[in-house]
Amino acid sequence: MSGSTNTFLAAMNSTAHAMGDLTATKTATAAAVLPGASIGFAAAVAVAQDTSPHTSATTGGVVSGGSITSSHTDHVSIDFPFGPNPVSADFSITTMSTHGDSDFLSGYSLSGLMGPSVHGLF
Amino acid sequence: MDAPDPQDGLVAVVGGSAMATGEATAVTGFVENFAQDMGRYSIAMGEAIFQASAYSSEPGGALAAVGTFLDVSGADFIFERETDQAKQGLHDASARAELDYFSIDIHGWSPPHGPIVIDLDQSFGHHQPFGHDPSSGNFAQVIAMAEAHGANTLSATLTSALTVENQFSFVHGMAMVAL
Repeated sequence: MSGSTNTFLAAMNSTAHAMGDLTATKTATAAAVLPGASIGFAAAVAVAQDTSPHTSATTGGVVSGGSITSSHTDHVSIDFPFGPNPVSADFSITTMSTHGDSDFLSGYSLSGLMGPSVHGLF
Repeated sequence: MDAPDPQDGLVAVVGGSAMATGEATAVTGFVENFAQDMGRYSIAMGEAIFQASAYSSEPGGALAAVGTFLDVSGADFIFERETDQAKQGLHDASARAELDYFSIDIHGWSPPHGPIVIDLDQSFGHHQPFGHDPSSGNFAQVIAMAEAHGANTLSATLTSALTVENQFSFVHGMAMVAL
């Protein structure tokens, strides 16, 4: 049995870390796969206020399965070490998508793996 | 606000996964996690909801499975509620799992015999409709959110979705908060 099976994957991750007496972190990720396309989104925000604040925000991911893939990442880091309450903030956003004919696992017939095989019996 | 003692750190991870096999499948996941330092104490709360549905023209070819998990470290009180439902038919299958929790960490104090945990676990057979109706195709969707407020905080989320045409759908999601 030959032929390929369309397989789509989307995996996203985000991390936000803030060090200081007063901090806030927020992260969100979403991954969706529908027939013929997969989409991923990740966002991270970290804010800290302290005498020496530190923040980190990272996002990333992977999409696979389509013939046309696009991705975009924005990262903004702000450090304001002045005044009685220095502030640090990090923002990161990643979007990814892929669509079209699948080439992921191309050449492998998963339907053949799921079905009965008589190879070698005759 | 002073930074808490390192021994008063509160870490909570909540998440789950769902999978379905069949010609038409649909799986979804939703995870939310929140933590806040309230001064004398810290709280963490969240939920995870995962659903899976499958249809197959071949008898017994539809399978659906879901699961949720919770891991809390550094809390003095943990209230957890889990609800699981499942249905298996000749040509269709569906499953749903939901987990809610609430935890408290009182700074500078710990229960003498370890954390106090109240866990409500409810499992159902199929009595009412739930899940999706996978009319055609293979779908997978998952969302995770995490938020933390306090001194020295960490938030992290991870989601993944996978489908194999005419055969399989899978999602996994988790959200972590630490302070």
